[in-house]
Amino acid sequence: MVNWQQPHSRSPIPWTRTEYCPLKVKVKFFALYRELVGLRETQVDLPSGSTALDLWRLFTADHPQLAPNLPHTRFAVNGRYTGPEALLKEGDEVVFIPPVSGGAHV
Amino acid sequence: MFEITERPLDAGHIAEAIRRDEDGCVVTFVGVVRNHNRGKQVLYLEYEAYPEMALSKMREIAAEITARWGLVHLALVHRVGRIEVGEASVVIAVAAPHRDVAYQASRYAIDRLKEIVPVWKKEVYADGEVWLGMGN
Repeated sequence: MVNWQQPHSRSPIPWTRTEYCPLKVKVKFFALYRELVGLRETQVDLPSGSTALDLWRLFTADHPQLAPNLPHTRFAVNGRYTGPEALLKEGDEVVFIPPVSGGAHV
Repeated sequence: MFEITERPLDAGHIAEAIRRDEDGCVVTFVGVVRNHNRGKQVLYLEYEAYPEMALSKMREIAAEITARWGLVHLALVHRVGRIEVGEASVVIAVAAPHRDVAYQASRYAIDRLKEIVPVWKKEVYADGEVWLGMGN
């Protein structure tokens, strides 16, 4: 579970859109988040040194309908769960993971 | 045997696929879609997976089971897409020389699957639909 109330000292926000963005990542969406955003995947440019949480903040600034879900969200980078503070690298595949609910409801 | 598939699941076939002659039992768990949940009538379910990660998490569960109970033969198969009432959404089969290990590993596998495998389900009712797990 994300501790979303913790101050995040390394957050680059606010930044300007003219800032140099050397980091490109792929973001995929599933289930509720896919429906809320209306995308299966997209590419996002970020300042170097950005974290998974920075990406969430940047993305939800443009898609505020997703923002209230942060307390329920886990992050996955290249198919592994990570903390919100995980540093992103060029070419990473990031998924905002809604609460999983596979299997039977038994 | 680890699989995410859109096809209907055949538990007997899956169990037989993992059984070896040194096994003395096969415990098969079949999760099925039921026609009601939390007081509402359910018409059908829609399952969705992040397939690459779901498979790697299934392998991780298998490794945890091996570390805890030793070598067992294991199948974790999850169906995705639209699944009707009475149809199977997930099949877990564990074959082992003795039943204690098979029962324990089977229970562990479904509990872990629901914690870490990125699969989501949406319940569809006559008057709406809802993704489960979002604080509900």
